[in-house]
Amino acid sequence: MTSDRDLVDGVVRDGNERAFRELYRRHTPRLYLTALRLLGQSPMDAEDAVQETWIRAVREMGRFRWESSLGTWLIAIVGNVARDQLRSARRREARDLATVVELEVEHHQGVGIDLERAIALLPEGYRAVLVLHDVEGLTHEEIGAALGIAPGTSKSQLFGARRSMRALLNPMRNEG
Amino acid sequence: MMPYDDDLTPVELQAFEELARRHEPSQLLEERTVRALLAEGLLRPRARRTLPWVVAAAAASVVLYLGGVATGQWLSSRQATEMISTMEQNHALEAAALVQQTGSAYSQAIAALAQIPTSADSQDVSQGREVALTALYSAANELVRLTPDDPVVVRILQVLDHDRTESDTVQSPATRRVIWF
Repeated sequence: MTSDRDLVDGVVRDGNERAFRELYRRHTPRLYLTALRLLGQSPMDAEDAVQETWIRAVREMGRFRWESSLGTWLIAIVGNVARDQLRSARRREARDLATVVELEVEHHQGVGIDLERAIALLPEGYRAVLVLHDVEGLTHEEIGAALGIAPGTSKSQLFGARRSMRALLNPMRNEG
Repeated sequence: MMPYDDDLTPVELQAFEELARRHEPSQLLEERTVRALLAEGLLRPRARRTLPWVVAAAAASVVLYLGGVATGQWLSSRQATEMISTMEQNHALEAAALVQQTGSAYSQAIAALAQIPTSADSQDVSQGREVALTALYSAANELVRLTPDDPVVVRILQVLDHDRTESDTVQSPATRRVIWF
């Protein structure tokens, strides 16, 4: 199997469409799922994010230093793209977290919801950090670079995200 | 201890590990992305001259054969056999040339058919039209095999598929009177 590095070389050096398609097929399923999670499970938004991710990635590929894997680099880009997308669409949820948790607890009558749904219900800032850190394994430094925040902010967001996630997953425990 | 140290429990860790890691988007996204990159000049279009000659030959043979049916005397079965045999043995360039040649014959045959007044020999004209459509459908099928990623070809086949499905539901087999020569 041709390595990512060779394929990237083909794209950067020759604009090789075949090499790009191979990279696309290799990495897009993961990118797409991450975009879905970051954008609250909207397939159309996620597809837009994936397309924009590849455009940005191909533009910047020549400068990629291979200090992380290509996959991690792409995940950081999709994180950045999703953040921009949410900002431009002004989709910040008006509901605060307490309301979300309250509504969910009420709706499920004390029965926990699954992790995927809990992630989708988190406010976008929490969701982004939780997905990138706990699901995709990025470091706080990588998350900071992707989202344009300080690593310390990423840590505090993750702390809040995990608390919120637990509240959504185990409402009974949190009621007491 | 840092104020934000808050490790996941083993159960939580396991739950995260069990989350799906891959999900396929729609197939059109790949084409959309490639087109966007081509439009921005970030990719160069793929050269089309490397098409597999066998597939090109197969498409050519379908057009050749069905074109021959439509035109009757234009191409004899002997000629068709010779041409198919030629395609099987020769280079992709020759196969592509045959596609062009037989494609032209096919187009000319339909043009000739179109010249015939609809009032005259309407049954024959209708048969010719059906044969031409069948040939077009077969050729579109082969073209999709040749270039499955080409959205134009895929769309043509979808339209023809839709048309055939509709006409199948409208027409009973008895009303379809294609005679294969």
